[in-house]
Amino acid sequence: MDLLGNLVLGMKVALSLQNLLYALVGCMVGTLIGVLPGIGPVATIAMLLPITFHLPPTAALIMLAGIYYGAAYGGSTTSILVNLPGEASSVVTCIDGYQMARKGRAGAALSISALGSFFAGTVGTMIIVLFAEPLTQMAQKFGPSDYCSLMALGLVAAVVLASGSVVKAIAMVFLGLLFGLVGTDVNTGAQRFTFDIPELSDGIDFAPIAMGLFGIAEIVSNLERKSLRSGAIKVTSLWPTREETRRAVPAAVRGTALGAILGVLPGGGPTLAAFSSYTLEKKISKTPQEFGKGAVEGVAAPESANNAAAQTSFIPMLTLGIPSNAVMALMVGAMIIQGIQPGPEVMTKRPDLFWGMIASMWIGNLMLVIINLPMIGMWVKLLTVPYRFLAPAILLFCAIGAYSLQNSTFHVEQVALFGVLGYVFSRLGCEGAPFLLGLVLGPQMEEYFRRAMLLSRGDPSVFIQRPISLGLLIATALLLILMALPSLRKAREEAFQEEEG
Amino acid sequence: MNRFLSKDFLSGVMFIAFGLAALWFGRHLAMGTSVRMGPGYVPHMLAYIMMVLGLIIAVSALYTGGAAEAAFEVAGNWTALIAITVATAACVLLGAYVSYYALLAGVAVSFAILSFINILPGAKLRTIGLAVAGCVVGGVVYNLVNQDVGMAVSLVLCALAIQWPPESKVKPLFMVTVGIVTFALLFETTGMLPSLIALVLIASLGGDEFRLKEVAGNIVVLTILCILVFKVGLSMNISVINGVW
Repeated sequence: MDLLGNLVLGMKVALSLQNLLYALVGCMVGTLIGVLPGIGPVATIAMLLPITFHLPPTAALIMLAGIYYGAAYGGSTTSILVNLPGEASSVVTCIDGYQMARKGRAGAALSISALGSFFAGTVGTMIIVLFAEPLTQMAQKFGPSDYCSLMALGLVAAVVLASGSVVKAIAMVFLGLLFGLVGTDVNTGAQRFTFDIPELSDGIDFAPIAMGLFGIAEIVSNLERKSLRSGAIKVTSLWPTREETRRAVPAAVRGTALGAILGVLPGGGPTLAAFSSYTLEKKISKTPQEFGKGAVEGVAAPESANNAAAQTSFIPMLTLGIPSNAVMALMVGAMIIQGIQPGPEVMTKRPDLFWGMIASMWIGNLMLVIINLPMIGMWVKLLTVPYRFLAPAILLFCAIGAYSLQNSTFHVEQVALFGVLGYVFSRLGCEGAPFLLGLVLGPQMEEYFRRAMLLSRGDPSVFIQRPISLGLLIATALLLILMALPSLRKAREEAFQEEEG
Repeated sequence: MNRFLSKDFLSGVMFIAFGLAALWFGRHLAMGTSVRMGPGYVPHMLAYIMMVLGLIIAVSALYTGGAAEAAFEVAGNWTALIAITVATAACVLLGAYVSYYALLAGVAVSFAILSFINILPGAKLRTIGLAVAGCVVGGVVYNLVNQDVGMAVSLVLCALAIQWPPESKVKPLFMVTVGIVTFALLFETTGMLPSLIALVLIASLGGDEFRLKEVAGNIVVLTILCILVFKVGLSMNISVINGVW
């Protein structure tokens, strides 16, 4: 069967020594930043973007993907052992994981979360394999107007599902689109917003913006906060009891299913999946009073869900070229740096890259179980490194990385500038993720929009005459109307408040 | 007054400002027709939509401003904010329209004034001394050796000079930004090592604790690491000290 042949091809690529090595590096770095509080996967991938420029495309993407799901694993370790979530998607794991650890079941909680994540990762990878081909074939039927509407839907949905004010997030998307237009206009050759700076005529480089907005701004806000540390709990036996296993397995399966669905949705991803599955477990549990006091389900479900979502969120990016969250936008950026235009063509033109990356995800998940369980002691030691050592080191790697993109200090200055802008954004409660999505999609969206209008001789009704485009636009409009409904808005606000609290 | 400082109102203003800037800087871009769009069509469209959204955000913030969170904690610190803004603007204008020496003189004078009206509290003589020294040494280097290095020297010394009040919120942002800019100025002219030292030193000042021995150790470790990763590992074409290695 074709599917099998593809998987074999993927395994061949992924199992080459070089790619195995980069998968390992990615998983190690991912676990590392997952363990270290205060620096998440988005910032790390943003800061490592320039380095991937020096690697072959497949290795680069395999490494970045490894960081993404490695962070999901690593974050749970600190949640359970020190009650400090290493990153956002493991915040819920703190609630019951730390309580389990205090009862002396730290080892069991760790292995449940690692094995649950591995199961979820395996299922997630299978889902990608099954859905990649049909979705890609569907996407190849899309015309320019359909693509334009699809991007509109992707952007709006990402905004609706993200936290915070919807109007602000939409405005951020538009700001991102506007920044994406800087450079030479493809159709006419006119210079737009380049201020006579030659470096800008190719457009603002994606990497310095991402590094500034996410990396630098995050470091600054970490430095503003006073650091708090608490002692780690010792790990004894790693094996869960039979009773714990009996409760964990169904929870992990439910978490995986929910996470896999939420991961595909634009704006979804690991954090949303973890929160939703925790809420679900609490609702259907026969003993809801145990939640918050060390319920096994409260560890198994969110940990599986965040990993399943981390995997399936690759689907829209790989098949349609539409990123569903900030990490995927960065992956798109990494592809563009490598000269690959993300979209349905990737699978047909670069099958080695496409299937190699998918196969490496499963291998990476396997590696993570091995990295995580026996080496937990080492990771916990890392927590004792004070942030005042880390911050200058991270900045330094950022600066050298930005320089190495094109051997120009102009890129380093851009990082500083966008760092300030990112700080202002975070102070004003404007989120960076919608901005990044707009920035990545901006040039393509303008291109498709102009092409669609040219084909229809300037008649905007082309967007509602083609059935695919019409359907996508109706879905977009429905989402926006749903958001305006007062009852729904209230429910959404409450949901996000729960997240923050 | 507080409503005008809320996150929502200020972000609305920010979007309108970005929209206006896009319209102003894109004013020479041809609009074209909807069939053959010129380079200005989409930017104008985006700018107008963004300004409308910004207006909605700002106006609704004024009506629901009761529970608004303040974006910046400036209560009671208005004079400081205004004084520093005026000083910075004056220095930048001096630099842009007069000369680099005028800018440096402006920096030194503003340090003196700000210290004496207690906006930059702390040891006044040391602050002013360091700032003046930074300006003089930086100016000489700027003229005799290299412009980039001169600017970097004055930046480093002025960053060291500022005695931040303990509760200062701007310090991390300031130090991180100055650190990266100094790095960018030094990297090509002097090589990796001097720029690394400057960046790590300044960035370490941004934390809540600064111990010279620790920072020195950090510099040594990072130097070795950077040489191994970038020079040996990724074999990038960068020199550790320019002209030497």
